[in-house]
Amino acid sequence: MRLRVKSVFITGVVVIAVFLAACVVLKMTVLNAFLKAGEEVTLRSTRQALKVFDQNAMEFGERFAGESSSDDAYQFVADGNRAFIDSNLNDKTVQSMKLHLIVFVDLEGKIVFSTGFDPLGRKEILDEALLKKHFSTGSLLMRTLTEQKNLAGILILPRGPMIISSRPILNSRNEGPPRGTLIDGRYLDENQVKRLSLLTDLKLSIYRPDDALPPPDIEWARFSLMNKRSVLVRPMDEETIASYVYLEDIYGEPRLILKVEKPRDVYRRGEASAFSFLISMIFIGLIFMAVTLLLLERIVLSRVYVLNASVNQIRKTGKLSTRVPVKGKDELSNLAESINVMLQSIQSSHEEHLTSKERFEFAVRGSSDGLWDWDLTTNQIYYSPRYKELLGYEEHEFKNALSSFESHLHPEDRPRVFEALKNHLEKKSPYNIEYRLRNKKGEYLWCRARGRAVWDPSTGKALRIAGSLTDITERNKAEMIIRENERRMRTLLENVEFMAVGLNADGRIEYVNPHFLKLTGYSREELLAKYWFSLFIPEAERYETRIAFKEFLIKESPRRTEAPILTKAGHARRVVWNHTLLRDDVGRAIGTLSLGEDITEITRLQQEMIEADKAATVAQLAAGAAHEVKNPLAILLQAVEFLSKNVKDKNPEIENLLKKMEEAIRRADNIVKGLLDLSRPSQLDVKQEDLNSIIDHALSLIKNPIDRKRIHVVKALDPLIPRISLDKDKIIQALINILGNALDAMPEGAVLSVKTGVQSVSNLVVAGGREQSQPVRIVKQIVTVEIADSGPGIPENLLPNIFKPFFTTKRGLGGTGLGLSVVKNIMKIHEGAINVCNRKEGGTLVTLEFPV
Amino acid sequence: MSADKKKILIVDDEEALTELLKLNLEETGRYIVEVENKGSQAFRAAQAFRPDIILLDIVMPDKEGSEVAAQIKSDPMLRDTPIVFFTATVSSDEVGRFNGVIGGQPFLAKPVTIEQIEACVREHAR
Repeated sequence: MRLRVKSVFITGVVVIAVFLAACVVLKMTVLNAFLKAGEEVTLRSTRQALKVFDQNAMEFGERFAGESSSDDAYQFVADGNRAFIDSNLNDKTVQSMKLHLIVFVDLEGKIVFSTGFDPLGRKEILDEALLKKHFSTGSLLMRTLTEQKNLAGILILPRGPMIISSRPILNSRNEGPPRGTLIDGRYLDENQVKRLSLLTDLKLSIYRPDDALPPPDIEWARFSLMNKRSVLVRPMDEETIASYVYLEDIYGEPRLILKVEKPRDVYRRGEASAFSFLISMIFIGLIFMAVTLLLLERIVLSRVYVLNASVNQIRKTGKLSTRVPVKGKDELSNLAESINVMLQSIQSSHEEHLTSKERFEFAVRGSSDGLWDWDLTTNQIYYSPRYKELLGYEEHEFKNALSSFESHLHPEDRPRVFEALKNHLEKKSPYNIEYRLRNKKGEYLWCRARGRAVWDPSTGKALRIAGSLTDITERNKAEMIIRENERRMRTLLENVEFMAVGLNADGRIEYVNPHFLKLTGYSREELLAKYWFSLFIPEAERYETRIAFKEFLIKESPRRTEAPILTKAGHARRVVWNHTLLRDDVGRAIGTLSLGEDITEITRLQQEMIEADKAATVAQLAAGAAHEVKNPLAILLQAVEFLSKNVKDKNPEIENLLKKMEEAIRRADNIVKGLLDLSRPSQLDVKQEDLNSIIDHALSLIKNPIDRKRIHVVKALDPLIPRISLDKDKIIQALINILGNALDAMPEGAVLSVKTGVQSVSNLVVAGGREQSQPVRIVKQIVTVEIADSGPGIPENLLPNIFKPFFTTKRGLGGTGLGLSVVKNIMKIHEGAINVCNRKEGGTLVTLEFPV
Repeated sequence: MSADKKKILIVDDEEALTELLKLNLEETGRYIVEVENKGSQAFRAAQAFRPDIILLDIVMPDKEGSEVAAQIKSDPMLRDTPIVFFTATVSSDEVGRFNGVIGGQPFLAKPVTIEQIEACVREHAR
């Protein structure tokens, strides 16, 4: 219930209770007092009324005293003279006196005269018995005569109660002796009672208790008064109070009930004052209530509400820096101040908490760790939302129970984890362990858990343990990837057909790969920690190369260099290097890793290709030119023939001239023919042939010049050489060209040696180019033909040119400069090779190599 | 004696060459030589002249010698007339190797002497 409603209710209840209490008190004390007072007053009035009745009876007796003390009457009793009666007591006279009974009794108790009327004034014959009973000698009424005393009272007659008086009859001087008794009576009728009521200002009424049907209150009064001769007071209603009392007759018998009715003035007044008191009570109560509520509202409630609203506002907004208003100096302002002080401390502790919480959350979020907290006393366990999120669960999906952890732990890791936990709790060894947890998808994550328990200092028993959980799956994966990458890189370096050399910053060898070892002929042990430059760089270039290396360590350029290195055997290999600068964690250069490709062969081949291209271009030009050249040659030839037949008077000079012209035409024709040979497409008429017999055939074709120069031919033909696929005609042409050159170069009587044989050569070949395949060593056979002359040899500076078309040392001596070009072409289309070099002992050695 | 003389039709676009060949060959008194310098006219010339042998240049600007030969070979009247090709594009090596016959056709490599022509006519002419 709201405070306001409560206070209204309470003050209302208090006011009503006070009011009711006042009512009760009023009722019990004041109103009762008034009631008693009212009854007192009524009692007094009743007694007064009784007195009035007695008085009335006495007065009634007094009024007729004259009658009894008159000489006439005195006389009448003695003589019974009726005149007196007729004059004084005729009916009319009696009626005017409103008397209903007159009786004269003499001294002997004899009724001298009697007359009676009913209550309505009608003449009535009196009952003798009744007269005798009351008026005979010895009756009470007659006592007045004997005692010389007047008597008045009420006598109950059959027709109703009657006021009776009896007096001794005396003379006018009121002197005796009395001659009898005079009795007067008047019915106590309603008029009488009314008169008395008016007299007493009370409403009086008379009832006979022996009435057959008395009113209910009279019936009640009769019973209540039965045994006590007192006055009975009873309120009739709100307005009227009634009292009841017995009226005694002349014999002292209670024969009538007098009911005195009186307005309840006293009680009414008391009631009215009580009512007005109550009204004022109500009024005062309401004022009290209003004032109380107002004061309560002003002093307490409104301020409590303001306080409450402020606190609520702070609670809602969460602004702990807000303060509640402080007004005045009382308990409430003290409370407000206390709240403010409390807010201050909450704020600072909250800020502190926030800071530490933020720091904590930041740390937790930053590390993306999950948290867990296991209360070992209650066995309750808490997993932070991040913990569950790590495993892919919503907050409600992963129950805060140990079983959740157990059911997600990899079965293989379970013994290890609980062993570590046990060791930590019992021996306080660090709890820092990696294990696998199953996530929502069913995959196992590698996690690192770190934890620390809190031990009870008195018992040494662990109370709780809390810690963090880190997902290290990615880290493990990353490490695996790094290891895998390293393995791949190493495999690559170990297998690649490039040279790989790692040098430290001093230029000492730290790593070489197998390909490098193979090409240079060293073993790894011979090279590690050796100085690179002194081992591999030719002396002439050592200095520059070392400077370049130092510069590279600083500038990281040039990344690509081309330089010769020396093999163990001392051969120079041309290598293109690709350098990478290696740095340590802080970026310092710690060495280089260089990949090198041996381009010695490539360079040579490139050179050859350039030459071949040149030759091919020339050949094509020649082919085009041949047609255009030959027609003019044909014309010239015909013209020379015509002239040599038709010129008259031929002198020897003209004839000589014409011959020289014809020769010149032939020479030109030969050159064109040679060019055409070069330009021929490489179509071969290939058959399995015996090279030895082809050589014999070629030698036979040049038998004449050999013989002419008396050349000694030494043949060393290996009969075991295999037959090879070749175009016989082309090979004969090639041999003739070579042998022709040899003949031209040799002096007369020199030695020409021709040798054939088989050789095995091996090559490393990477088959298929697949990553995993190892290089394969292929051994193949070649057939060689060596033709050595004993001429002067070829000057070294001319050696590179000998295969170029139109290069000749026999210009003007019939040399076209196409012979060796043609040979090279023929060897090429047979996938063979030709080498020309000078022999140590002099002369030239031409080697032809044919694949088997 | 014209009946004894062999009729030679020389087809070549080189007018100077054909003129000299005609002079040199007719000077021997053993041949009647007709000259045609246009490949496209060669077939008509052959039909008109009905030679005993035709010397036919291979490379000609308006019509290739091989085409002319095919045309002649497809003519019933000329089908059996022997054709000897003149060629400027045969190397010395090829001349020796194929012994004057390539693809079943005899040929003469320019520049050619009268002797060589006479030998060839003797061998191939009807």
